[in-house]
Amino acid sequence: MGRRVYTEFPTYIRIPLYGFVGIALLLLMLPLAVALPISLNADPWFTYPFRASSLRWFTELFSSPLWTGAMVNSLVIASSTTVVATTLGTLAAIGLVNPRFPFRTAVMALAISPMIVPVVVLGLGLFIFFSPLGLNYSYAGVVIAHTILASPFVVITVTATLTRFDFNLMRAAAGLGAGRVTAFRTVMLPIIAPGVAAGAVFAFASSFDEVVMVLFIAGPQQRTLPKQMFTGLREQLDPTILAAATVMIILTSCLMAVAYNANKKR
Amino acid sequence: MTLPYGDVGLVMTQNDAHGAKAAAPTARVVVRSSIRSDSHRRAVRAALPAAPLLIFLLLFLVIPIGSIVHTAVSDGEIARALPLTTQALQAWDGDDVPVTAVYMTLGQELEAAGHAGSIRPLGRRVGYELSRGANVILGAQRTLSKDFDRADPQAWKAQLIKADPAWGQSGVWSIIRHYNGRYSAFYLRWATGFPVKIEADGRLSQEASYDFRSIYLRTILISLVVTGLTILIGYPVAYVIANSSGRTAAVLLFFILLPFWTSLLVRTMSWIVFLQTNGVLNNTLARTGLIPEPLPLLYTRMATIIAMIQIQLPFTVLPMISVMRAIPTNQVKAARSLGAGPLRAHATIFLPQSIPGIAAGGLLTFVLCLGFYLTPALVGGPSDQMVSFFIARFTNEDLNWGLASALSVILIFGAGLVALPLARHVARHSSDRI
Repeated sequence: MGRRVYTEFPTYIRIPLYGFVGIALLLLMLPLAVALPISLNADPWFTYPFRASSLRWFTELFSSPLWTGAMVNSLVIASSTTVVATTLGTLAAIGLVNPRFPFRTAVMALAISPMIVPVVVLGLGLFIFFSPLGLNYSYAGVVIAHTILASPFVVITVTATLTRFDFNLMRAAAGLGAGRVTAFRTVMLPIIAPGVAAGAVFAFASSFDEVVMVLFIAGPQQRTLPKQMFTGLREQLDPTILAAATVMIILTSCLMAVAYNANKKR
Repeated sequence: MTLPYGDVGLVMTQNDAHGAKAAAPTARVVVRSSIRSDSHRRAVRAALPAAPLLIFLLLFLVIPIGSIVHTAVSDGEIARALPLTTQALQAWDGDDVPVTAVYMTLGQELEAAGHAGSIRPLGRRVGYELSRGANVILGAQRTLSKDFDRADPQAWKAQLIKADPAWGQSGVWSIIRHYNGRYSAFYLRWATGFPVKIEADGRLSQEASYDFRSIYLRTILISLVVTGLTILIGYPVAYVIANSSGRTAAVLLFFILLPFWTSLLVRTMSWIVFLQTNGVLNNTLARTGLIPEPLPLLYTRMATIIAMIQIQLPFTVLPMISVMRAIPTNQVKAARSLGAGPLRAHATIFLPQSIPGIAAGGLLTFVLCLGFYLTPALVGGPSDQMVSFFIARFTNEDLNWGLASALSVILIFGAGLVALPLARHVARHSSDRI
């Protein structure tokens, strides 16, 4: 698409329009931009200006067993979720781009539906379903719940990548004697890897940030970082929560940047 | 007999007239089904990679939602604990109290339930419908452990009425009589806002209870306001992004997408820090002397709506941008050259063509808003809580799974009704892309 110019609107409309959009976007960013630096405030107050700044809350975050335990739990659960969701989602996407797939639209809708169905409803359903199976208050239960929420991200990202994949390459590989699995491993996977990586990052981020499922499924043993933050937000707001939030944002931003660059290189 | 198909001939070589007659139609089916089974095999091969995810979704998405529906209509506590009493009560006309013999049946079943451990679920279940119902049941069971003439039905009756006068009135009996099966619409009736609780004498209870209809209305209202405002804010934003080139568009898009990438919980938390009584906004306003004392900004409807708008804006804006980018600019230019003013050209040419995007974004936002839990729970007050909050509360705190399930059924049903046109839109557009 070529350069589009504002031929439609004269300056006296364009300036207020720009102004409105700028202010709207800034206001939406403002709380985040204001809240996160407070994690550096040496005093336990949530206001500016600081009397002094320090890494006190970060030290607290990384030394309190409550918080470090929560971080370890979150990393374990998010990593397991990423592995399961990326595997299932990538395979499903490969099936779903095939035009011969029966009831493709309906199956796609089912695969995407966890994004639309209210999380509380999914949580309740799993809670009821898990209780006779003994999966409530277990790591496996939380990973399953998070995989349900994370898999649509993988399906969408990998499907989008596969639409640009030339399936003749697979035929060429088959013609050269490669089996389906070999062709997938040596031809398709390296080409779609950036898309798979992006899906994996989304899956990780969605699990790392998830709290509602944890409220339903997890027990005290599976206390995750968001759960710990949620409890703090409901009971006593403590600057350690801000430090935790900052760590979360930095971690997910790094992952997103990696995925973005991987996709850009293609 | 001529056989056009070589391999089918094998079937027909049996020199048996009866067998041939039976085999003839089969032969054609075999051929046709071998063609069909080939296309089946291709379809199965196509679907095979998706099988693990489909099985996973079937197990952990479809079945759990099915079990929500099942839980919403399951209501077997009374019939399970008191099977003979419910049966005996079918003969009762509902006036006054049942015959004395029923008291004895009930008393014996209550004792048995006490031993079997099903007395507490029974008490809780009766308590949902009868004011002080749990006390009525548990009190009766306690009194029956005392000494009295167990051979005399009259003594059972006296003992029960002594335990709780409610046993001398029709209310509790009519409840026991009504639930003689494993399923009922009780929880659905409760969740749709019908008055369910009665007094011992059978009149409707005046006890304060959840007003689910106003909770649904509130959920719809908040969702509508958020959707409307995101469209109003999102439309100009989408317009500017869709009409910007290269770097500007990328930067603006980054700002829109940033919330997508940052944690929902962190964003909600930042609103708390920003809006709370001793928060950044209140302190800044107080220091500049604009306000004498802190404003109650957090735990309000306004805070809920603002935080939800921030979260939903990308969902509204992205579909708008993709539709707006496809609108040819020449048409607006043509309208301008024919004498239409800039706003008029926009309103008559551009706006109508961007409606599919507005509709898709708005519908998506509305459906997602209906299920919001986290944001209202953290930044809203008690009167800003939506359906999801009550589902979570009935599940985790009150342990009333039946009611939580019934609320969920209504929420999914309502959201599904709204989402259907959305699904059709997505299906139409995703099939272009795939």
